[in-house]
Amino acid sequence: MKKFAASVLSAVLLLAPLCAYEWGGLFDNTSKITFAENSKLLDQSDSLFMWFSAPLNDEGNIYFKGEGMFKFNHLNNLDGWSKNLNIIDIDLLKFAGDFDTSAGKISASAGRFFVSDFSGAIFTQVSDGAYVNFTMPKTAISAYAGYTGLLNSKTVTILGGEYKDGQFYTTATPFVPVTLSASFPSLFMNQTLSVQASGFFRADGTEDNRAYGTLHLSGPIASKVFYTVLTDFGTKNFNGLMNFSKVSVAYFPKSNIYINGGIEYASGEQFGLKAFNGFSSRYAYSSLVDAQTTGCVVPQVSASISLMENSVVLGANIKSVFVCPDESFEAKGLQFDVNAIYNVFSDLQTAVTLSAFKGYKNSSEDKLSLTLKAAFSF
Amino acid sequence: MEIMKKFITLLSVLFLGAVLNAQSADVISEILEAPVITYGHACYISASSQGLISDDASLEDAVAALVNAKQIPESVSAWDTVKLVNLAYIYSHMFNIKGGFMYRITKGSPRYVFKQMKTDGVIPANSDTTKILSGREALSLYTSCNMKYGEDQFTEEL
Repeated sequence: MKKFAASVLSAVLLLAPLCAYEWGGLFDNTSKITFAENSKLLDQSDSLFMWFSAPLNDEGNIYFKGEGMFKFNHLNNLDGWSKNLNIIDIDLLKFAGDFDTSAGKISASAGRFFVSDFSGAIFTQVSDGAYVNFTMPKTAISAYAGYTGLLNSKTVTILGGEYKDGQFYTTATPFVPVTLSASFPSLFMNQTLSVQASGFFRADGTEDNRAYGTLHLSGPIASKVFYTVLTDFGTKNFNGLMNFSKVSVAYFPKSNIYINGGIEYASGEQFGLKAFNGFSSRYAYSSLVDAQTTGCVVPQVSASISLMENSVVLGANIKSVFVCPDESFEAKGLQFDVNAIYNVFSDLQTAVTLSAFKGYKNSSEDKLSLTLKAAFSF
Repeated sequence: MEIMKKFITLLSVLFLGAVLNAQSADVISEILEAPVITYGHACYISASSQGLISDDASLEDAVAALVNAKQIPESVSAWDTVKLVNLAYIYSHMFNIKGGFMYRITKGSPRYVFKQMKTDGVIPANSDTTKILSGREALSLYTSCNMKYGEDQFTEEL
């Protein structure tokens, strides 16, 4: 790990004098207090992010970017127990380039950067690897291959991976993720059809290999109304199929108002399917125990409005949670979030979020949390 | 391309209209044709807009006017090329920019003028501080600044 960090630092120092680079930083303070039936928890964190961007040629189409972060996290149950955690990470470090050809545009990146699958429910995290995208007038194809064994497990949670205790930086479980995607924009009536295949292969010999295939259709259905339909089938070690599907409709009645409604389904052990599990951690809803996206049906409605030239943004989200871990189907509870963001200046933002979960039948996972946040970029 | 040239010239002439005469229009045409923007060109646009130079002023006079106004350092020559970060700084003196917190406490330093113009969408997000614009691109940036910050100023005066 030390060798890797030293190599990265050397590369940055060697490259820096060759080009004029830009830099910046962000300081974030987030304090969250959660009240449950028999407990309280204060979760307070201070994070510092520092980034740089350096063009590597005069045209500016080939560049080197990086971002590092330090986070201090304090947990306290307000009853004598507390825990401090220090995390250091590099969440972006990549060479990237955009090249125009007679057939279309090629974009390529290599290094550590954020990747996401079409559904957002399978592979959405920072990863080390290489990505190439070829965009033509009627088709876009892309490919990604990477390695997760050098990531910091304190900032990236891989489902089914091992978590190592320790301060600052502990390496994540090694997998080789591979994705292949194709999109056909404006296929018919401005509709976009996308397909994606992805595989995650354990690199340390453990039998934990996963594969997914996604079909995604999206586009406008009326003026100011857009839809997304997506279904994803996956398998773990080729032992049965699991499914994640969602439908959502977004409506923009005015340029500053956004309304979205939809429903998600993540399979449990029913209809001959296995319980759905993606690769990256993703919460389906937020009760006292943040629940992963598996064995549930979650209809939801959200809305937001921006006011005063985007200085103030108000939002609300409501989810009704039904769980179906097997053939049973149970109404679990209601999650409600409201938030307000105030951009004091273009580089200073404050936000407050009130989040609540209320069980329909029992109160063991009920919670009420208040989050205060301030972020300052410089 | 010829239509675009005329359009940029027209907008620039409209925004600089209050101070333009025939000679000024000739300088704007010269800037439009310039492969790279120089301090002389940038200072001429700024000094004309601020009414710091007379109708028959030269590019050197424009640089001297901004040096006297302490808007640029004495060390620059009218024929030196201007990096984008410095061009943004020269332009910033023409407008009442409502900047962010760092913009205000540094009193509009070049670094935070550049970042503010990126935030406001006046300068493209992927632009580099050391980029050197052509004359036409520099006039286009002036037009973008005027549409973003000039309009705000006008609204305030109302």
